[in-house]
Amino acid sequence: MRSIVAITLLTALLSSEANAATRRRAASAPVDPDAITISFTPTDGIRTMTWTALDVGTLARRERARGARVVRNVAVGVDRVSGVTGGTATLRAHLQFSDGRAIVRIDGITLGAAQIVIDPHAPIGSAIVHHIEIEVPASVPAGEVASAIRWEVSTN
Amino acid sequence: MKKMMMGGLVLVALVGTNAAQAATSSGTLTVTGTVESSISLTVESAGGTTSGTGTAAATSALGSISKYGSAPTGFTLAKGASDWTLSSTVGVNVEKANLTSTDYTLTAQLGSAPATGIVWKLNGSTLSDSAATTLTSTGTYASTGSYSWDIVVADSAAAAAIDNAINFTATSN
Repeated sequence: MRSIVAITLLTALLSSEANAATRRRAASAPVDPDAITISFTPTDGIRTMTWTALDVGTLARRERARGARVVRNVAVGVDRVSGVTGGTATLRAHLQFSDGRAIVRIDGITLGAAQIVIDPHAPIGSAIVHHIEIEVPASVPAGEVASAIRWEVSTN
Repeated sequence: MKKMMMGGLVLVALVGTNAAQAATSSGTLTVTGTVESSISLTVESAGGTTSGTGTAAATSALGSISKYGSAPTGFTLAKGASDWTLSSTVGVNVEKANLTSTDYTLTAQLGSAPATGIVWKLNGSTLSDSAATTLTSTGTYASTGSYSWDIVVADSAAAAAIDNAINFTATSN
């Protein structure tokens, strides 16, 4: 019985402490300093790109054994809001949207609807270049292609 | 005593849960592009000592040729009354990508005017450097077409190099 009281008390204390911490954060800093952000930066001759859009331009088949293919390099940065560096995060990606006309690969890994790990140890505070490859099979008629890559990063 | 240890373990577990909360962030990168239709032409085979087959720029070396000598590799030699003919074939493959076309037209044209007394033929048609000759207007994609290739040399032709180029052009129908 004594132990049950002890557990209850500890839980209550922890809960109370956690709530207090939450209140302190809410009062003094609206943004969680441990929060992290993800950003995208082009590193090669990309025609147009904002932080969320990458237009790879025109694709035409150049190699006999493959379809139309283009590779673009994008630096994916993981940073803490506080600016503190150090530590690592796991970078995952999946296709949030695909018109079904193109195969999308990151660093040679084909993306699908399910999340996959792109980098299990992405350093926080720096950007790592990843190769985004778009391949359109020869059987696909000419025209626009569009896909949306959803990236997620979480601290390890 | 056992019960007290249990309480201690619960505490550790609770603290651990709080500390293990991972910070996460996510973003979406939209990728767009435009696919263009394309076709490719490759010379797959030819008489003579060839190089570059399987590409769009093949070379065939016949070496020294004469009416009363041996035929070059991959050629046959036929002697006529006033001329002689070297005969072989040229294999041309055309592939398509991102294109709905079902067939293509293939033409050939000499890169330069042939030497006097020399006639170049493909599929029985005489080639020139001034106009393209149609070899087929219903070429099948991804299937190597074989075209007869003749070089007719008049007995009166000067002994000299007969070098030339055959430029193939495929156009999707």
